[in-house]
Amino acid sequence: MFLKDIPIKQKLQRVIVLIWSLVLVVTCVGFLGYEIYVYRSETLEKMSVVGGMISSNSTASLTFDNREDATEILSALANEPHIVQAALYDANNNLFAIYPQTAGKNTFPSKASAVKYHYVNGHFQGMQPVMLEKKQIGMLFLKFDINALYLRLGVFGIVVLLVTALSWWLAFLLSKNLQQVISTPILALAGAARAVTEKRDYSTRATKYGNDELGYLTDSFNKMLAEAGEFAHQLEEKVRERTLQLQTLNNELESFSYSVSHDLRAPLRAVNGYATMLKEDYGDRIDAEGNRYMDSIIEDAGRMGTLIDDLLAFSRIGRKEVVLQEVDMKTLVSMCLQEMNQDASLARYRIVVSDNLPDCQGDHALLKQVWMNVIGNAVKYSSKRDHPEIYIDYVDDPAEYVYKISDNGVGFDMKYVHKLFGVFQRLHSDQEFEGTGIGLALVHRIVSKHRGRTWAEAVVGKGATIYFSIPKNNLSHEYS
Amino acid sequence: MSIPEVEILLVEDNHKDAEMTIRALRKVNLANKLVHVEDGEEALNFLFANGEFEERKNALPPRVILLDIKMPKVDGIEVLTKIKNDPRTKMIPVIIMTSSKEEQDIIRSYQLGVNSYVVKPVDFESFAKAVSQLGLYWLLTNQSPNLS
Repeated sequence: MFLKDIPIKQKLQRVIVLIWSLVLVVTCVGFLGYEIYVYRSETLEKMSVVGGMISSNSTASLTFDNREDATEILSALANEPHIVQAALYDANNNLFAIYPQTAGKNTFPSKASAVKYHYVNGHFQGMQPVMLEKKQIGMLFLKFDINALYLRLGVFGIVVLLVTALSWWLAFLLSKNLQQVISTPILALAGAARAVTEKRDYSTRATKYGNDELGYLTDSFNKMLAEAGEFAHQLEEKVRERTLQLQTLNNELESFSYSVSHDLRAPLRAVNGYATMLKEDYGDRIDAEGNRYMDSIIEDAGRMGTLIDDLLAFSRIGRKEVVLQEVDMKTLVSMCLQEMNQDASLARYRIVVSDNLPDCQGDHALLKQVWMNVIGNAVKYSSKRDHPEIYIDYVDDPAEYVYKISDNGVGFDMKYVHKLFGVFQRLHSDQEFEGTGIGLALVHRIVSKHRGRTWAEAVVGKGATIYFSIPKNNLSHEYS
Repeated sequence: MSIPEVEILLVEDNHKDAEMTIRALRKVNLANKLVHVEDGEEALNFLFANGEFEERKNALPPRVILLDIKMPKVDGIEVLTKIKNDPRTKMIPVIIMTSSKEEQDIIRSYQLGVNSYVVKPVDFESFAKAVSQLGLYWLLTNQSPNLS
């Protein structure tokens, strides 16, 4: 509809003016029709009265064939300015007398014949018989000018136009004011709704202007707002409360790990240090068994130190924020391999890295930790092979970048795969392979923080494959 | 009476850590001119010749300070702040030796102008190696401004 998208104020105004115009037009047309009808009837009536009068006056002239008398009777029509021509015909229907005399005879019908009054070229004209004692003795012709009607209609038209313009203007002014009765409460409602959606200000209230349906709507709207505001408030309170709790917990955790790192390591260092000092200073005076005991103390104190360090690293990463950026995984992998090669030669290993390893959106430092751990794992568990092999590849997936690291190492029993990514969970003894059980737990934790997944496949004695994935649309997520 | 020259000021509340540190330094012959104080307050007294160290008014400052962070009374960060804010001591190299690997401690120390930050390893061999390397580097390799 043509009014659909314009503001409600104009909509109401236009509707009012439109209806008003329609009423006005219909009324004017009605009046005009009536006016024409009335004028026509009046004219006809007048013509028959005038015609009747002239007929009865001219019977003697016709009977006695007195043309002068007849002409004089006709000339009395000068008092009727609307009658422009008149003529009398004798019993043989021949022209007998005319009015006005100045008019040429040929402007009159040459023969008389009874015709009702009708409209011809801007005139009404017609013939009526002249009767004497029920006998027709002649005919009267009358021609009536209707310019007067045009004049009247013209005046009427001008009045109609003036009235229309005036009432149009009045309607416009009135509608401009009257539409406010409806539009003001609606606009107030709309304004309040906009304020709420744009500013999330639930304390906004729409003003009520009356007790009609709009007033009821305003009341309901305000009530809904109050409820929504209350809900929002409660929710905010709850979030604030929870955040506070979380912060407290986080602070506790922080001070806990701080004291763990400081207070636990100091005595451990003393155990390790004094045992070493004892061995250095008195080792030659203690027998082989005693020396073995001392070695065990030194070794296990060292192991506990590593354990504490790993645990602290684990909790630190839990608290670390993920900073997303484009990560070139291929470069990252070769960086990790280089770094690991410095610690212990990887020359023995056949390591194949796929050329098409896809980049992803992730935290560079954290993903480096992931690669260090998974590659380190593969290196460790294939170290007892004569020809250890490690393959770093990816799997095509529409939603995720899936990376896989396979080795031909000892593998593990799939029965225990659920324990693989748990903290301190190990599938091999310390005697077989050293470790704290933190490495893959850390991988899982970092990948989860990226909203990715970790999983694994393995065959005992044949090797293992570790998978981890990073979502492709990572940018749209929020991270904690 | 001449005031003995001090090369290393060791600020460490843990006696065992102190003993192990001194032992490691002695092995490379750097422990002869070492003074060990047990907390931050004592360290500041030593450096600014207050209290029991009043007779050090005109003494040369130590050539290097080994400073623990977690100590009773006045902690290492506070001592570091005072050292680096005083024209008399700001040029003395300060090495933080601590068990804390906490990022916040490391950042804070470097903001205050620490010269080195070392995390004490649990393993004694690594610990001894770190301490002796530090001593050798700061006393022999590194050239400090002449503070006399």
